[in-house]
Amino acid sequence: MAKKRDKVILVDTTLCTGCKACQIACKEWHNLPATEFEHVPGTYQNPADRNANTLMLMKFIEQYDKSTDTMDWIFWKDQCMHCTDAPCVEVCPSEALFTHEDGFVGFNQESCIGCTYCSKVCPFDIPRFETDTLTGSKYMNKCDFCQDRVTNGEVPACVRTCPTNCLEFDTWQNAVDKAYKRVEEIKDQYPNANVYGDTEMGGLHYIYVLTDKPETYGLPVEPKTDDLVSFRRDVVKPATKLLMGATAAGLLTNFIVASANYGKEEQETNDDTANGDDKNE
Amino acid sequence: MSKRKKTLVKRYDLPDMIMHWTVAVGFVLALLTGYAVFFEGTSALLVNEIGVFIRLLHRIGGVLFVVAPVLYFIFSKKRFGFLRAFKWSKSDLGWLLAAPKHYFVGGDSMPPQEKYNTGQKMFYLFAVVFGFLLAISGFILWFNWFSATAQLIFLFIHDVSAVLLTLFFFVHVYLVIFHPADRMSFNAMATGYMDREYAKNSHELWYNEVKAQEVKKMEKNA
Repeated sequence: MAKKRDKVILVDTTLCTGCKACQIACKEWHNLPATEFEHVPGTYQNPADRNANTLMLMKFIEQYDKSTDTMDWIFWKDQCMHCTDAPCVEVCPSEALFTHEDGFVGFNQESCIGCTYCSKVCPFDIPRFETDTLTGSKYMNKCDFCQDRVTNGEVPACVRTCPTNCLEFDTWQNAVDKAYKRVEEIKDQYPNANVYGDTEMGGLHYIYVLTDKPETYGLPVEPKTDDLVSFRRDVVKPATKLLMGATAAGLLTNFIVASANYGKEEQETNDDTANGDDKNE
Repeated sequence: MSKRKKTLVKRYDLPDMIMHWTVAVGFVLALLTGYAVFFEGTSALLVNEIGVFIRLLHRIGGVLFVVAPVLYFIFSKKRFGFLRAFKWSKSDLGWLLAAPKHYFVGGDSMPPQEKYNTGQKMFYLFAVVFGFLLAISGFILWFNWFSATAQLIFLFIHDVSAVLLTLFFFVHVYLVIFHPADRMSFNAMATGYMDREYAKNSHELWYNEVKAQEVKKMEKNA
């Protein structure tokens, strides 16, 4: 479970105006180039999806309700959720992904080897890659919680720039309490309002106040780590070491025993002089 | 040449050897670089330019491992030779039962063997089956085909195939390089020729075939 003192970003989607200032601040702080404009019909969302140069993306969902003839326009901030039980950290072979002491999933791009294991296990489909013709995926990129700012006592760039206080930087327990309180306040207006992130994946380090069910946002209702991750760690890897050790030991034993026996045989029968050099090994 | 013929018997042609050694080089390259990632190496080994180089080597190894057998299958007359690995009979069981004694103590209790003995056939079978799985899953991982969940399954297949092949590969290398009685068979794949005495003892059925052909040839010439 997430620790109470962990640092967390609280997203109150009811306060979001979809201004995308956070998206720009993120790019600016991480010094990432703009991506080619991509026309996505019928939405303000741009680009269509996150990429190695767009670590977070404002998502726009329009919901038309025929029965009441009303339009619901949903905005939400999409980026790494910073799981407590992060499968990406588990599978990363080069320690590029790590659990920061403040609880979020830090990322050290210089250590990334582009193995893409993280993208195979991420329940939120977060990792995006810079590609390379020869090796396919060069390196991964994702939200790093502005680890350089946070460890120096600053708030993340997106939080710093948010003009409506939709984004708040707080400790984990405070944020969860605030979120539940907020949900109570807005229940009349949004009967489906809920808190997302307090129980998922051992507690996310992004806590959302959502006005509708997670499915509406395209968020997994019950995100989980694939069983193959623990199977690979607990069975495949130890078994490999064991089998390799056993094979090496077996072959070494064979070498010693066979050398002695074949040497004896050769001395007795003295039939093959060509191999005489090896007799006394 | 005539003297060579007396003590040696031809076993492999040049294309056979080129195929074998290309696959071997590819496999070893991919093996070393693959385990660096599997066992999570040290960060120093995997990151930056070295890491990029390792990734590249792994792919070069993989391509060699696949391209050599494919070219061999297209151009060699012995393209269906690998089917031998699927032909099993009762004498194979006899070989398996007699093998521990033969490899540890020595003695001639083994049933007469064809060109490939039971152990070699097993390794060939492993190489064909798991090599195929390894290559297919490798390319799927390389080019990022299918969904993330499917990718994880292919990674699992890639890992397990690699481990099984590696273990058998250890045994294969050990026997032809270190084993006191069988290390001389290394020459067969290195030079194309096998010691006549060794062939008679270890691959009797095959040796008899070759000898019959030699006799036929000689009669024809005379």
